[in-house]
Amino acid sequence: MTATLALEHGSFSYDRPIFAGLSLALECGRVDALLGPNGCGKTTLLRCLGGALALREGRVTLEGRALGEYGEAERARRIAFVFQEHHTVFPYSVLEAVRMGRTPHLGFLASPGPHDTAIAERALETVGCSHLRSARYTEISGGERQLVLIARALAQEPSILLLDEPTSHLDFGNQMLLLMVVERLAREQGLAVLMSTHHPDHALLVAHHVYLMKEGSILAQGAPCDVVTAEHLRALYGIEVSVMAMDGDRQVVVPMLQPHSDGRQKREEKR
Amino acid sequence: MSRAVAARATSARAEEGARQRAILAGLEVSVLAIALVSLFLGRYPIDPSTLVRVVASRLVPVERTWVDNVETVVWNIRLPRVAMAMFVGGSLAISGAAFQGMFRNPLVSPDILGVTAGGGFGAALAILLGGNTLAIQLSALCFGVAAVALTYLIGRIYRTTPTLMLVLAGIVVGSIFSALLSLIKYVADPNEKLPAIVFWLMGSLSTVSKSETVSAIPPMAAGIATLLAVRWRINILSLGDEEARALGVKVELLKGVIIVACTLITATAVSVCGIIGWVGLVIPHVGRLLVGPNHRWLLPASLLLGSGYLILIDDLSRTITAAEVPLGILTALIGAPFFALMLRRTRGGWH
Repeated sequence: MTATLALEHGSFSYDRPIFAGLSLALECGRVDALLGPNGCGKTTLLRCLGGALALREGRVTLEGRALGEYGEAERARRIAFVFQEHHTVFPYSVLEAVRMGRTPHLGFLASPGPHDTAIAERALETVGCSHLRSARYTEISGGERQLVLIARALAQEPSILLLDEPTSHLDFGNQMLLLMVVERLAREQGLAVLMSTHHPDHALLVAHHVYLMKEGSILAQGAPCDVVTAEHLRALYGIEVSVMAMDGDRQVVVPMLQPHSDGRQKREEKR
Repeated sequence: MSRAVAARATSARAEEGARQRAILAGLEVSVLAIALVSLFLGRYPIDPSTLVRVVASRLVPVERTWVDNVETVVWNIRLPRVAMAMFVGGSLAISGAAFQGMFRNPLVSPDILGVTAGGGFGAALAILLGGNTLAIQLSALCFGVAAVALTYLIGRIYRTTPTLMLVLAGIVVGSIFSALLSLIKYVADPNEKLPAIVFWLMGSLSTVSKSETVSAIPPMAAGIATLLAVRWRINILSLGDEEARALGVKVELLKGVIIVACTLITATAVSVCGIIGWVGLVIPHVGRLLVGPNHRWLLPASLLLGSGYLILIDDLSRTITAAEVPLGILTALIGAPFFALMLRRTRGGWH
């Protein structure tokens, strides 16, 4: 496996340093998860990898070439970015929204043609949202919108997919649906995927490789079962957890908090 | 990909574009019909058959059965006026639609970057200094363009132009030019120059001549053609700068092209016929009701709707009373209540 997108000793700072000396490499057909507390620099790191922000030091390479050497459209044909926050003003149809993913393949004055529409249709089918094609994009549910945004990313026909907390704002069922789609894209279409998430369980479920990020540096990285451990999660989030083995080789993360019902019982005993 | 998906995609595409195409064709026919009917309207009566023959005589040899006055009225007064109304209305509407998409805000109008405030000041200054019509128009054009350039410079940060910065810079520049305009009105001779300034600011097509038509239409047409050429990309721009960049769009270049095109056409329109409000704000909303939010259809629809609308307004302006009613007054009196009605019908949704 060759690294498609790699970060070499990258540093970034606004007024204060956000991250420093980071190195990572994505691989085709692999889902990488980025775990870390709020404000640890996950989104900034993703934006640097996507080319939206320029590193202060170090470099990002795409297929062995520096990312900065690529033109905008050239880059967008290889890297697709699904943003965490997405505000829409105009109620485009879902199909039109997905078709916008064809932009990097079109000339400056061109509009998408039948070929582009077919690719958009196929992308919608891949994420299981073909039935929404004529719906207004502003009126579908949050879960559906996230899937449609992934379809738009697929319409770019990228080799790399960057997802910034794709499961936030989604209900439990939609979280799982989205994770399954992401896993399938890596397995079936050979995409290199990097997603940031707040759920260690999500990393255990679908990721092949996990990065733990804290205060701008990588605390640990490697296979999920080696990296998502009780000590690491305590160091990362400052809470007690237990990582339990399920049947087969599955693992789950269980927070060791004082159960709420105990507190209530004690209060009732006092009475 | 399975053939079934491809077939469905093709048929869906046809059904999607077909409605919009039919509506645009209907609008084209309507605008031409309105323009033709407008040539009959006016103080000097001309019967339909004579009018048709006068127009046709320029293309094919027709026996001349009319007096010179008819020729003059049709060619030097009515046709230039109708043509100018058509282009000014279409220009204002299409730049409104483009700006609303670019600024991701359906409450934006073409004067958001200060072009009308600058143009109004330029014209008033020229009137104060006793300039002729040409000087007034050139001054309006230059100050309109200068106002937008100033807005762009203020709004530009680190080689990017964030939407909010542009809007705020536009408010600043607009306020400065409004204040300067007030100053000119304050010092202008109240018997002669002040009324001229006030009348100019209210907007009118009554003085449009053939030569003005010839000089003003090409820049407006160029601006319109540019906006139509990039219209699909306005959809991408409406997703926000960062997403547009991630989709491979050169955001600053595209914004620059749109701003230059809109400024060119709005400044030209203002320089020829004064300040005509509401067209650029309201017409794109009517367009969205008809063809939906996709700028691929919305821009041509706005262009046609704006053209037809301003020709009709100008017809009203020259026929309802013996003295002409300024256009700016009519577009506001009709446009504002219509906008309110439409907002209530769509309950504030931008459909």
